[in-house]
Amino acid sequence: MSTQRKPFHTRSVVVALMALAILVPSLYGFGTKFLEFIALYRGDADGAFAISPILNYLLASLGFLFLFGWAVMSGMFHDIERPKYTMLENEARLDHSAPPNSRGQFGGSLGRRLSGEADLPYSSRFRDPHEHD
Amino acid sequence: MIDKLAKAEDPRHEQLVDEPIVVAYFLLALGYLALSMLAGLLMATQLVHWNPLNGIELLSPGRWRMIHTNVVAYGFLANAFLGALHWSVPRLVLKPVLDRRLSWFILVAWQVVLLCTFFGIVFGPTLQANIAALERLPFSLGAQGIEWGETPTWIDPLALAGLLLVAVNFMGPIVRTKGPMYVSAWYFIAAFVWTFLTYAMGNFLPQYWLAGTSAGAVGGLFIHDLVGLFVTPLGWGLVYYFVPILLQKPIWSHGLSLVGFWGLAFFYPLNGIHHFLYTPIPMFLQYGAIISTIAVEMVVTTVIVNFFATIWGSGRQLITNLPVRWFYTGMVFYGLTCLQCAMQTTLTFQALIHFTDWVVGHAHMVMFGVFSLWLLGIMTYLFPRLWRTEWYSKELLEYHYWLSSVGLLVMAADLILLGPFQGYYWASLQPWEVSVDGSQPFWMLRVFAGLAMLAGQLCFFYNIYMTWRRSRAQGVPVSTGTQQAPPAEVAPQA
Ligand code: HEM
Repeated sequence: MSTQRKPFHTRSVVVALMALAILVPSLYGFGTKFLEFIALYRGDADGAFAISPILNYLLASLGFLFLFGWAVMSGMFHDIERPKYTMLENEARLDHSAPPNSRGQFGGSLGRRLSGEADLPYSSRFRDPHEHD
Repeated sequence: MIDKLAKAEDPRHEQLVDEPIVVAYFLLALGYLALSMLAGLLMATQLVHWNPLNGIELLSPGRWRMIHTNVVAYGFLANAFLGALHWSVPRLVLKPVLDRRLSWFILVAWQVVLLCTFFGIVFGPTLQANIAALERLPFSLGAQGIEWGETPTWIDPLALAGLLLVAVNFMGPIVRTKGPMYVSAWYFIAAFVWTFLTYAMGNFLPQYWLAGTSAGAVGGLFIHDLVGLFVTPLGWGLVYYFVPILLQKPIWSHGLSLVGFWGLAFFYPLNGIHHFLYTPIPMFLQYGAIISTIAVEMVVTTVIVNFFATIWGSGRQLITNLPVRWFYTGMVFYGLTCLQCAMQTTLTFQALIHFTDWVVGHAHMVMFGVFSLWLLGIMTYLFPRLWRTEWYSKELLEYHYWLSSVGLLVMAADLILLGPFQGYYWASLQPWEVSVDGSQPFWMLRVFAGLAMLAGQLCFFYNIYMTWRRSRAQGVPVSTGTQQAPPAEVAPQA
C-alpha cells in the first residue's frame, strides 16, 4: 500500500519544494525592490519616475491579487489536481460526439487515430492509479 | 466505455465549436505569415546589398521592416491564436463563445485594423507628403513612433475596441463555468485582460501623456508586456490544453502549473525596462527590472519541468506524433530563450550585446522558434480534424517541420553568434563600416535560413490546399457551433 502511494508523495514534495524555492526568493527580491520604489517615490528628487512602473504594476496585478483571494476562498485550489482529469474526460466525450464525414469516417477520435494510438477507454487511460482525487 | 460515461445532456462538439471561423483564422494567419516572411527577406537582402527592389519608395526596407514585425505579431500570431481559441475555449469550458455573430464581426474588424496598419505604414508617409489636404491633418497617417506600437494612431482606438470585444466574447463562457478551473482557463482570462491593458498603455500613454525617459520606460514595459502578457499566456494556455490531449496523459502536476501561472501574474509586469538597460532611465528602475526578470526566470522553469515530466515515458511520441514534436521543439527553444534572458539581463552582458544582432536572434527564437512552432503544431493537429480527412501528404508535413525548425535554428544561431562579434567591433572603436563588413557572412547565411523557413511554409500551404480538396471530395459536414443536439435516440447513452 505504501509503495503504491509513493509516487503521489514524491510528486507533491517536488512541487512543494519547487514552489518554495521559486516563490520565496522571488517574492523577497521583488518585494524589497518594490518597497524601494515606493520609498524613492516619496523621498527622492528623481522619485517621480518610480510612479509609472508602480502604477503599471498595480494596474496589472492588483486585480489578480483579488482574483487570487477569491479563487482561494471559493475552493478553486481545494482538489488541485482534479481539473487536469476533468479536462481530458470532457475532451474524450466531445471527441466521441464529433460528426464523421459522409463516408462515416473520422469522427471525434481522428486525432488519436492520426497519432497512431488505439482508442482506449479514456477513464482508465487518464487516471493515475497512485493519485488521490 | 465512453458511451457509458457520456451523458445525453452533455454539450456536443458541433454545438460548441464554430469550425469555419477556426479555419478562416488559420488561413488568414498563414497568409500574413507568408507576407511577413517576404518582408523579412526584403530587409535581409537589403542588408547584404542584394535587394532586387532597391530604390522603390513604397518597397523601402525601412517600411517593410515594420510590416515584417507588425504583420507577424498582429497578423500571424493574433489570428492564429484567435483560431485556436475558438476551438479550445468552448471545448474547455463546455460552452460556446458569447455570440457567434460577434466572433465573425471581430474577425472582419481585426482584418480591417491590419489592412489599415499595412496601408498606413506603406502608403501613409507618401500620401501625406504628396496630397495637400492630407498634409494638413493634425496626425500622421503613417506609423506611430513606438516600437511594436507602429499601428497608426488613427487606428489604435478601433484596435483597442476589437481587443475588448475579444475579451467579452471569450470571457462570457469562461466566467460562467462552475468549479475549479483548468490552468489553461486561468491563462486565457489573464491574456484577455492583460492584452487590452497592455495595448492601451503602450499606444496611448507615450503618445498623449508622457514624454522623454518616462515615455521610454513605458515603451519598454509595452514591448515586453506584449510578449509576456499577450503572447506568453495565450501560448502557455494553449500548450497546457493541447499537449495532454495529444499525449492522452494529464499534465504532470496541475499544482505546479498554477504556481507558474500566479508567478507570471505577479512578477511579469515590472520586467520591461530590462530592454533599456544603460539608457537615461534612472538606474533604480533598471535594477528593479533586473530583479523581476530573475523572478520570472525562476517561474518559467516550472513550466519546462512540468512539460518534460509529462512526456517522461512517452518519448516515442516525439517521433510518431508530429504535433507533439512541434510542441516539444518549441519547448526546447523556450528553454534556450530563457537561458539567453538570464544572460541578457545582467549589465555586464548587456554592455556587450545591446543593439547587436544577438537580440534579433533572440527575437526570432522566441517568436518563431517557440510561439509560431506551437501554433503550427496546433494547425497540424487541427486541420485534419476540421476537415475530417487525413493530411494529403505526411512527407510534406515532415518537410514543413524540418525546414522550419532547422531554418530557424540556423538563423537564430547565426545571429546570436554575430551579436558578440558586433559588440566587440564596436567596443574596439573601429569605424562602423568595419562591423558592417564583418557582419556580411552572417547576414548572408540569414537570407538562406529565411528561404528555408519560407520553403517549409510553402510545403505546408500546398499540403493544406490538397487536404482541403480531398475533404471536399469526401463531403465534410461542418460544425458551426449552433447546431442543436441530435434527437435523444442518436445521442450517446447516459
Ligand atoms: C523568411 C524568414 C525571415 C527573415 C529573412 C527575417 C528577417 C528579419 C530581419 C532582416 C529583421 C530586421 C533585423 C534588423 O533590424 O537588424 C527581422 C526582425 C524581426 N523578425 Fe524576422 N525574419 C524572418 C521571419 C520571422 C518570423 C517568422 C518571425 C516571427 C514569427 C520574425 C520575427 C521578427 C522580429 C520579432 C523582429 C524584430 C527583432 C528586433 O527588433 O530585435 N521574423 N527579421
